Amino acid sequence: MRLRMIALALLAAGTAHAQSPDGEWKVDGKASTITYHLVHKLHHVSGISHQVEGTARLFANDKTQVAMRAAVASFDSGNVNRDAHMKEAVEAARFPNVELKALADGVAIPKMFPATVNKTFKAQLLFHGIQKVMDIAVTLVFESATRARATSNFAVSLDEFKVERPSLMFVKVADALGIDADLIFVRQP
Amino acid sequence: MLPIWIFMAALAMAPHGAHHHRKHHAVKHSHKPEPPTAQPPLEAPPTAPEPAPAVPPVASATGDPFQFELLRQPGPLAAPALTASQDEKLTRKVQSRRRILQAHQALGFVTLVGLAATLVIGQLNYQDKYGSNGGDTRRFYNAHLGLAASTTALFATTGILALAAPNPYRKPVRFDAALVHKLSMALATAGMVAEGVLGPITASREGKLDQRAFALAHLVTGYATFGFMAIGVMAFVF
Repeated sequence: MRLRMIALALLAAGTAHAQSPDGEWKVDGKASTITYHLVHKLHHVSGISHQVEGTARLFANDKTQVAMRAAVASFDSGNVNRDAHMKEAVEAARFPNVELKALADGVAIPKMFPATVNKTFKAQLLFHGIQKVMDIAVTLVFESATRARATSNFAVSLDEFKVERPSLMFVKVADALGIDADLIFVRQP
Repeated sequence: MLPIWIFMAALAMAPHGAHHHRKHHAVKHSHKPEPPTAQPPLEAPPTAPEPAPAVPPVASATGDPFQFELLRQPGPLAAPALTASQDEKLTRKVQSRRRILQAHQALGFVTLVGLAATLVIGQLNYQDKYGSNGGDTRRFYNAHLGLAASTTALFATTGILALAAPNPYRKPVRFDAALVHKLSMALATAGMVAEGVLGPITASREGKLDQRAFALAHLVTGYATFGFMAIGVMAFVF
């Protein structure tokens, strides 16, 4: 009996230590956005997607895996012709989604909130059927133990992803495609 | 090596045959084997919160760290994959649309310049006929007629190209620059048709008192047509 009580006490203590409060986090699609930016000599084009899917998994050894996806057709620039042209350029029917996977070390739930963590993720971007690995700086703001905001800004090359750059008045847009991500992650029970 | 707490959990949960309390049970030891008794169904133990995985799952034999899947289901806008013939048809449509719209853009700018020139020469022609310093020399008449005819042909060709371009991707109707372009060009088309009617009528009223009124209407309609076309072009450019 005494041995059982000791075992139970040790079990409670051990579980409290090994059970990480991290676990699985999902993107709140309604509150999250991904925006692309294109620069043309005459104007600046932006398209926003409010249909982002994503999951992040934090492991007990502070390793983190993230996977995100947004449908190409969900990006809205405010001009239906430009959106249609964008879909033609990135061959939306063949490659309907943009997907990103990311890895990082040292991401743990802080003890006090709000807390900001700046982390560089190693990411693999799948866009227009091409995969590229890159480093992405992310700012994580843990608003509470169950809610965090991740923001990031980075740029990719349209030429590297073999996207035919759209043109207007016979002038092509710049090669750099800016991406702004503003994601709300909610911890799953 | 298993963590110590897993060992302790196993020990705590182990059946307690040797420590079973007997004082609440009147059990007679017998050498005869007892018949098996129906056991009440065991209640499922309360589920403890699942602890976070200790380490990330092993990626793959190749060691690619990105070989993991966290998004199990297809995306919300996932559509069935295209067949080879659908893909080919779509690609042809896209290429055709690009070529046609590039021609449309080029001709559109030429038409806008041509319409501007027609308007300037038309204004000079009106001044020559009805202005205080005009001498009705008709020196601008043939130039205006030539420019008007060629601009009308260019305008018609530009419009036909836009209407003939295929639409591989659906475009919802909403109030944006694209709609402003279409509405402006529709009004410009109405203006060009009106000009095509007013021009010959004005010319046929030579020597009549009402010719000046027709000429003024022709001139004003020309300005309006150019204005609508300019708005349509600017909507897309800016």
